[in-house]
Amino acid sequence: MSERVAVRGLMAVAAREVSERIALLGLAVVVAAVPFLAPWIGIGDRPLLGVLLGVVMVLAAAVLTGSSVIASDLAERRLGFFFSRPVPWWSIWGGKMLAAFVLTFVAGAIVLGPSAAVGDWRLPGGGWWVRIGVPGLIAVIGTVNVLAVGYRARSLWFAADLAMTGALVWIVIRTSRGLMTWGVWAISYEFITPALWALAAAVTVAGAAQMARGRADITPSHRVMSIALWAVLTPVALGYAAWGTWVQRMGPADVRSVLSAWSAPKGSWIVVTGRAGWPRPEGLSATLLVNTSTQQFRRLGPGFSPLRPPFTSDAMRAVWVSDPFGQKPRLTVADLGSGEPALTDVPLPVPPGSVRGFALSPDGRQAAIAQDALATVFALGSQQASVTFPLGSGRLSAIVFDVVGRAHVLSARQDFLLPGTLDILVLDPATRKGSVTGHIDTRGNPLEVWGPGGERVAVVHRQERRPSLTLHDGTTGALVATLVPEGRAGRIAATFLRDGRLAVVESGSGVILRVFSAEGAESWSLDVSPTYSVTRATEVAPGVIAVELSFRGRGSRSDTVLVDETAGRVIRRENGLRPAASSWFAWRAQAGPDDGSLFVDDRGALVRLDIVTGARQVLLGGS
Amino acid sequence: MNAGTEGVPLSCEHLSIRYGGTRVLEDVSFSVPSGCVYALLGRNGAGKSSLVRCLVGQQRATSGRAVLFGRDVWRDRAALMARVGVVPEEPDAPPELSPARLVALTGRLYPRWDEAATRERLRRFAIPMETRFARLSKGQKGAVQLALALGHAPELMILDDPTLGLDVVARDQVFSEVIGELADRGTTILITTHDLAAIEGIADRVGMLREGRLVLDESLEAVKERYALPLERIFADVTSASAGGAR
Repeated sequence: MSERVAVRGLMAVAAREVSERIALLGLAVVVAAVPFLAPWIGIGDRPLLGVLLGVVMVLAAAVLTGSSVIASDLAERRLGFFFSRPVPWWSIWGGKMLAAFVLTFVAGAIVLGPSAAVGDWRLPGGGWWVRIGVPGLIAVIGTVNVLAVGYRARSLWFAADLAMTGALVWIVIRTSRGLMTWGVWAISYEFITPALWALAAAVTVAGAAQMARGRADITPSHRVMSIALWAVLTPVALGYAAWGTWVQRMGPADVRSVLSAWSAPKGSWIVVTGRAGWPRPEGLSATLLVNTSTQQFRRLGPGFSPLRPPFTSDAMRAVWVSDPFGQKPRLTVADLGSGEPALTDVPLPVPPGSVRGFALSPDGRQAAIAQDALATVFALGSQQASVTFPLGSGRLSAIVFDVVGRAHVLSARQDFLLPGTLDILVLDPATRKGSVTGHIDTRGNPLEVWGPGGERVAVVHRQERRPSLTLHDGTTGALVATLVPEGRAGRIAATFLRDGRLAVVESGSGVILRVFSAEGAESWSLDVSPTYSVTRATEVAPGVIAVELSFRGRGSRSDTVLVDETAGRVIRRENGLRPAASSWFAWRAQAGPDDGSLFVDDRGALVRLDIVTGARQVLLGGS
Repeated sequence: MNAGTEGVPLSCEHLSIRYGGTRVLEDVSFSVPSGCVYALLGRNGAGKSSLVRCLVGQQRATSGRAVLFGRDVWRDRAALMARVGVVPEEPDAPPELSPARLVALTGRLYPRWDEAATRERLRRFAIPMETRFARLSKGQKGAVQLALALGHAPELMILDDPTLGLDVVARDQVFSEVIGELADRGTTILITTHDLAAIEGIADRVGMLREGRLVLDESLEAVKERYALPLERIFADVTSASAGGAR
């Protein structure tokens, strides 16, 4: 038998299938006219309707053809007509699938073509067809064929198919959700394209096997199809799950680009958040607890959490909230006193719901949690809250413990973006009482920075436009001073120094660093840069403030100016470095002074800088 | 190519079929020599249709094999079908096509195809050429299937109960005009049927299936001589559940 007869047979089968369903194309012509009639009959917007009807037409055609070209003939025992002719199985199968593909494509083109021609939408480029269009059509038609054959076979195998489908979908969703938690956006072209191609390949192989080995009888056809389908899809799904597990096992050696890092008050433990690089996917980030001396590490969870894990003042413990934005956040303690840090999940006596703020008392005995509508203080390890108090509108909230162990937190009475009043809540675990101890008026969208021990709180109002900065008493909210009035600076960043003073960076036509006493009196000011840049100030060593100058916004190259905070003069400029603790993301919920000498260079490497000599030691990342 | 069966148009070698735990055919072996008209008989559910599906390469045997012209039909189905004509028990042509379009479609599936002869045969059967296949009577459908199976002048015809549901006139037409004519031309024929009277005049050999086993495989003359009974009685005796093997 010649190839010529086989190909002729394929075309004959395809032509027969198309001619049987030619009415579908007639329907498409009618549907194509609807968007152009829409303005006259008042049923909607022409461009939107055109695209909507086109998509519906494509899906309808795919379902109609995919469910009938093979499954109907099989179920009605008509496939034998072709199998009793001298044509190979692939002619029969190929002809039928070609017809389904052509009918779907042409029906879609008929509906979408006219609206594209008048400029209602633009035809996707070639890349889209390779990534989505072609595999999507094959996958939809093939999947519908598989479902139709399974359904019409009416055997127990179909129940097994559904069970397998459920199991594999569960695996894929679970893996994808896990990846997304770790910053890998699993609903993107990078994932959807291979998934579509894998599904298209699986249903194509299954359909081909069904025809090659099952032939004209639906029961063995369905059995062969199922075996082929799951033989392809199961390893793909399990491989994806295994890959997802491997991806999430990111360690310090996998960090390519450090986002932020801060160190324990003493010792060699640091917390670092960084992005991975090839062979792990773009976007993957993790927060790791790393001992820079021994290279021991523990994964604390995905990166990009605004709740930086605090250390106790003796650096013997680090505590963090896992899955803070999930419905069931967990609290974990790392005991850093032993050689191998032991991780322990401890009770988190708060109601279900995401966590907006977290703080640990300096002695590590008490913890405070802010949620959407509740602030809670509890003894670490206890099953019960010591004290709770209602909290205003949900926002990221910085919490701080004062010297007598009470937690201070700001609560917005109104939508925090609007002008209004912030209440100062003080929760005292000793008396098990919480109270509103003071108020602060705000112009809206406030960002608070607590001073050491909660004695002072600085509030940047309307961060996004014409910001201002006020300094308040940390308990009564009484205005101590307006440090930067509205309209003076384009951007304001503030950070408290260890001695209780406040360093403020104003960005406008230039960058000015100003240092204020705890009473709001200006100690000195310094022109750091004559040109505008996005800035942060961080105390990187006792007596040394680092001012970050980020020239093109976040993620771009930064320089750092080191300033002697006693004399108010520039020590030196460090090109290509920024303070590691001043992460743009972690900064919002900052509740105390940064711990310093860690920097990130322009390659993303975490660097320990010798403030005196300027020597740089790369700790990890950057490769 | 099997040297032993190369010249034999059709043979079954220890063919068995099981559906799960159900045995449909058990160790069936027979062959149909060239030019022979072989009538395969059996009561309903004896396994005839399953056997025919194996013989035309549409179903795989659980064990054993079906061989056409010395080649395994499961493996070489497409090539072998160029030499074989098949008439199924249930008409399976695309229902929306007219006989005229069916002739055109089927012709494109064969390397050699005599369209004129096929149309002439349909005319002789008085088939309306532009009526959709689905709207034809059962007899007309059978006639169309038969005409389509003959369009490439097959060396072997396999007919699965082609007269099932036909009236007496149509049955006579099938047997006397078509099968008789084919037999006269030397075409090898395997036919399954319940119409014992009709095959009595044309069959050379007869095989009888009982509960999946081939219990009789002899020339029709020898069977009639041995039993000295009408074929209906022989069939009833041989295929009844209480009968022993008569092979």
